[in-house]
Order: sequence, then C-alpha cells, then structure tokens
Amino acid sequence: MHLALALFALALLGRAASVQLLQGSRWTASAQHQQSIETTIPAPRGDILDALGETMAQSRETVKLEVAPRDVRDRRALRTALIRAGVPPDWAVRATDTARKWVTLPGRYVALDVASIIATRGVHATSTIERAYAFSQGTRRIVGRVDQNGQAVDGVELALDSLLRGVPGAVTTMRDGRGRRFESPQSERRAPVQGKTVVLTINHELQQIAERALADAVSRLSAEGGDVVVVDPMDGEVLAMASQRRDPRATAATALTEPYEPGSTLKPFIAATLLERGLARETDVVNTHNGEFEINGRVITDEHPAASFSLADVIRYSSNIGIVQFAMRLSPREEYEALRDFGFGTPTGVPYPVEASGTLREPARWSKQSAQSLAMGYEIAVTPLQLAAAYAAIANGGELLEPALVKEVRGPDGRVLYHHRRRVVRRVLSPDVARRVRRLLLGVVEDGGTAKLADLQTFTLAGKTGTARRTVHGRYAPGQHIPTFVGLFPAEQPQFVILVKLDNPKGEYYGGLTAAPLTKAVLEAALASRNASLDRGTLAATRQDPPDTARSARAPLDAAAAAETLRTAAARETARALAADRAARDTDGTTPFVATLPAPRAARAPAAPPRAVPDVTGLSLRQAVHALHAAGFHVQLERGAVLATAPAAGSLAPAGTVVRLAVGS
Amino acid sequence: MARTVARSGRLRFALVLLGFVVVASVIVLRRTYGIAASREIQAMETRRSGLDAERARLEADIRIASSRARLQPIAEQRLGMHVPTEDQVVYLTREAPPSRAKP
Repeated sequence: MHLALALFALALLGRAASVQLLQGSRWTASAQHQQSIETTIPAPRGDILDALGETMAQSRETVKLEVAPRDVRDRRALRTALIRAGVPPDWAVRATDTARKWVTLPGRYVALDVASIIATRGVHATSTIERAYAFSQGTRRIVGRVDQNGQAVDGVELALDSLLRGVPGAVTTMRDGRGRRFESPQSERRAPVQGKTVVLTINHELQQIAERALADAVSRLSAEGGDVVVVDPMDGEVLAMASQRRDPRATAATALTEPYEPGSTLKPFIAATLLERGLARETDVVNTHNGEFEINGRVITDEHPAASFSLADVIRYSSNIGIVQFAMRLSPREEYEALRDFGFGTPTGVPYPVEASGTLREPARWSKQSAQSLAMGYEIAVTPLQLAAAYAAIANGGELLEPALVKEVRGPDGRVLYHHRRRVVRRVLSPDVARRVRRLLLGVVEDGGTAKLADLQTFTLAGKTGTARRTVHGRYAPGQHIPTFVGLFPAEQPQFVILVKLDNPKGEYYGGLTAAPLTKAVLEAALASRNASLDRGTLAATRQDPPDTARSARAPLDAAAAAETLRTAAARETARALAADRAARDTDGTTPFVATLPAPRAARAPAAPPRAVPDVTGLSLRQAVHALHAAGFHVQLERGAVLATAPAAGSLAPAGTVVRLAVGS
Repeated sequence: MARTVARSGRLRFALVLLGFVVVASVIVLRRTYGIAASREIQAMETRRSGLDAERARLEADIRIASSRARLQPIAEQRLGMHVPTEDQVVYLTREAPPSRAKP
C-alpha cells in the first residue's frame, strides 16, 4: 500500500516536472493563446479643415452592434431600447428573434447613446471609426469619402490618403473565468496615432455662396449643371469650387474632371500673346467683313456684325472674325506654344485623384481650320480650374501659378509639416501686357460689352464671356451650349478670379445673359459676407459711388428701417446718425444707402487653445502623468530610456492632444 | 523530548503554511485589484471616446445648423430678408484708438 502511494506520488511529481520544466513554454503559450489576445485598435483618420479652420471631415468612434438573441434575457426591453436608439423596427424584431443565432445590426451608433444596450447580456459591441462630413454635398465632391471599411474612395481623401491615414494601435486583452475580456494590466498598450490634419484652401463661406447661387441658376435656367471656381490670383489658392450635375452618378468635382471647349473665353490669351510679342496693339483694326467671313471652306459669323474692329473691340464684342484675323499674325507653332504656356493641355497638379489634363493638340496634328478654331476657343478642351488659373496669370501681372487646394498639413501633435507657398510655374506675360489685357477685359463688362449684366455698381469688374457649342458623345449637339464667364474682381487689384460655367441652359444661353449675372450674384453675396476671403481694406479704397438710381430716393427710409434691426441701442444710434448724415450730404438722393453691417459677434474662444507641454523631468511617473493631465493633455505611456515627452516639454499643443510619455525601464 | 520536537516541527510547518497563504493572498489580491483597475480604466476610456464622439457629433450639428446653406433660405422665406446688393453694403472706417497720454 505504502509502495503504491509512493509510486503514485513519484509519478505525479514526474508529470509535474515534465509539464513545468520540459513542456512549460508550450503550455504557457497555449494558456496565453486561450486567455489573452492582441486586438488592433483602429486609428482615426486625420481631420480635413477648411481655410477658416472649420471641420469638413472628421473621424469619430462609433460602435457596431451584434446580438445573440438566445442569450438575451429580457427581449422585449431590448427591442424597445433598440428602437429608441434609432434601430429600424424590423431589425429590432430580428435582433430579438430566438430563431436566429446571431444578428448584426445595420448602421453605427455613438457609444454613449447605446450604453444601456451594450450592457445588456447577449449584446456585443465592436468599436469602429466612422467618418463624418460637415457641410454640403457639393463640398463632398472636393473632400471625397471613405467606404465602410475606412478605405478612401475618392477626392482629397484618396489623393492624400497616405497623410490622412493613421497608425493603428494594439492592446492585449485577457479573458476572465466568465469569458469577459479586459485589458491586460501587465502588457503595454500601443495607442493608435491619428492621421495628419489637412487644411484645405477652400473657404466654406464662399463655397456655400457659390453652391447656392449655382443651384439657383441651374434650377432657374433648367440647365443640366454648372461649375463655379473662385481662385485667389495672387497665390493660386482655390477658394471655392462648386459643381452641380443633374446626373446623380457625377459625384466628382467636375471643375477638375470634365474638360470642355471654352469658346470665346480663350480669346484674351490670343490677344495677350499678340501684345506680348509686339504683333498687335489695342488700336489695330482688322476687317470683320460685316459679320460673315469665309476661310478654308468655313464660314465664320459674328453676333455683333461690323465692317471692322480694333483689337479692343474684338474682345469687347467677342468677335470671332476679328480674333481669327488677328490670330493669322501668329504661326501655328506660336499659337500652340502660347496656349501651352498658359497651362492648357497639362494637369494643374492639385491633389485630386482624377484631374483631367484637357486637350491641346500639337500643330502637326492640326487640320487647315485648327488655327482659326483655336483662336475662337474650339478644338481645345480645358477644365474650369485650368481656365481660372490662366486668367489668374492675367490678374496677377503675368505669372502662371500652380493652383493650390491644400493650405497646410499638421501632425497629430499640432506641428505644421507643410504650408502652401506661392509657386510660380512660369512667367507668361510682362506686367505691362497683363495690365493692358485687364483693361481690354474691363471693356467687356462696361456699357456695350457682352457682360453688362455682371457689372457692379460700386466696384469694377473685368472679365470675358464665352458661349461654346456643347458636345455630346463627341458631336456638337444642336441647340446645346456651354455659356461661361470669367471675371477678375476688382479689376484694379484682383482678389478673385471667378469662373462660372453652365451646362446646356434652356432659353437664354449666352454667357453674358446666364453666367455673367450668376457671377454678380456670387460677388454680391461675398461682399455681404464677413468671411469670404476678401481684403475689405483694399476693397474699400477702390469703392466708387454708385450712379443715380430710382431707389436712391427711399435710401434714408431704408437706412432708418435697417437701423431698427440692430441689436444694441448704441449700434442703432450710430446707424441712424450715419444714415441721416449721408441723406443730408446727398441732397439729390444719389446714395442708395443702406444695409448696415451687423454688430460684430464676440469672438468665440477656440475650443482647444494651444498650451505648453509641461516639463516632467525629475518627476515620478505618477507625478508626471498628473502634471500632463492637469495641463489638459491625454497621456500615452511608452517604453523609453528616460522620462521624456513627445511633443517635447515647452512645445505648444492643443488641449486634448495625446502626449506620449516615455517611461524609463 | 521527542514530543517537544514534534510539536516544534508542526508549529514551524504551520507558520510556513500560514506565510505561504498570506503571500499567496497578497498576490491574488494585488492581481484582483490590478484587474479591477484595468476594467475601470477601460470603462473610463470607453466613456471618454464616447464623449469625444458625442462632442464631434454635436459640433457637426451646430456647424450644419448655423451654416449659410441652412440659415439663408430660412431668413429669406420666413423673415423676408435678402442678401444686400453690393451698393447697399457700407464700409465703416474704424478710427485708431486714441493713444493714452503718458503722465
């Protein structure tokens, strides 16, 4: 008996030794595999902001809900809670149907909204990152989108995916006796690193103005769509880019992706080239054959027939015959190189995945009529942005700039990694010729010009209209047109180059009757807006008194009425006094005053003002974490040689930034 | 004599056993506390990320509600307001604040 017990004890001891000493590592690994698991923590994508710092796209943590109906105890209560949380009723019924083993609910939910549901037995929540977009569908055309798996699909999201994508983190979780998971207190958590923040040059205020004006015009004119592009001609920043199409499949920013024949809006570049090369002057006159001219077997006509036109009149009245006559002074190679130098036929290089390059064929592939067609803006295809960028060269004194869509890129710690700087592609005109061309364009908007409807009362506007025939499936569609207007505002020191293009409007279709008034509407709304990227100081200096109008007589009454809408008594008094003063000075009632500007709003405190990262040198780990939390930062522990922070002590970072604290081993 | 030795041995064994139990209990308690703290941190982290998400959603709601695209139609339709024409906008020149005379 004793021997048997001794043998049993020996066998037990031997087995224990075998398990612990010989097979120890295998069993340890097996136990760890069963009890702990490394889970990936998805990294939020970087934010996309507009030029004013407003968020256009942002990642937020949401949860995906899955239900095991048979594990749920109170199914009726769960069903009610699900419906209250916004789950479709049929899915709530499905989630509590015991005939099913597992139900994955559609949609994503904010964890706080479904906290009670998550705590219910049988409900399983998986953390996911959702991309939320502010503002309009039009803005989405630029920003793009990501799919349900967080993969960028189009737009800036796709073009700058490598910057916006973060670095996923990892955490080791263990399972307790009841199968519940918890984060292992022994293992280190590798926190996810958010992607970089991209600040676009788009001004959301101006973008919304452009989108609304475009939508109104498309609806009023029964057009198939349109584009509005606003560019700052001094540094090439794209301030607004609105696109609209009736076709719901067209979800891209068509101002970048759809080239078209620009028609007469190309004429100023021919004129500029002639002036630059000294081949013509503004006063040079050509025979315009009373509005009908045959060349190379093709009859060219004018809307404003005349026996002869000067170069200035050719631009003012948009004479096809005149520009063709002037273009004959250029060789095909010179004409081609001039248009190529203005950037046509080449992508502008903005970070957008499918930017079109347009079409500009080499002279070797031209037909007999190509030189004349190009002078009138045919046999060439440009995107609205290319055309706006080329006009920006006229506006800024002759430098072709690279258009910019990205203003800044910031790291997760707030450091600026990239800041847009004005980039000159090449000089295409001398400053003097650019000024002379602007003067030609001023004539287009003045009395008698083709864009009189774009004329402003108190500011000068230069520009050019165009009305091109529209191609459908490679052929000119009868009765279909693309009217365009490109404006430089104000004409003296342009702050905006604004391009307006409409697709196939019904009824009136000339650029001067359709696109020009739309340009005026956008500019008026921008002038009345507080944040439309306009330098009001410079504008106020160039403002001119409006001419007499019928409504001038009621101006003092308007002023008094407007004054009553002001919020404070002091503001009302000031506005009343100003109205009375202007009414007294303008005895003939020539001042159509007034819509008073609203009282300035109190500046909103920034949500997260930057503050210095505290110096934690010499502190214990607990004290260091406490100091960082007290300063408003989140803390992420990392293994390191010494106690140090990233960003470094003293660096400025917004409150809420994750500060990585390296802990000495 | 033999009985005294045996009693002393049992006492020593009991003390060793007691010491083992105490040490084991401390280890288990420490681990239990660690796991409880880990759970609490996890719950707080979840709550924090939930609050962050909620804040992001509310900020987005505010942005949309106060956007031009939303307010302009309401101002035009309900209040009869309109965007002023450019000649109705008056630029007020702000005078520089008077400099304080030094005593």
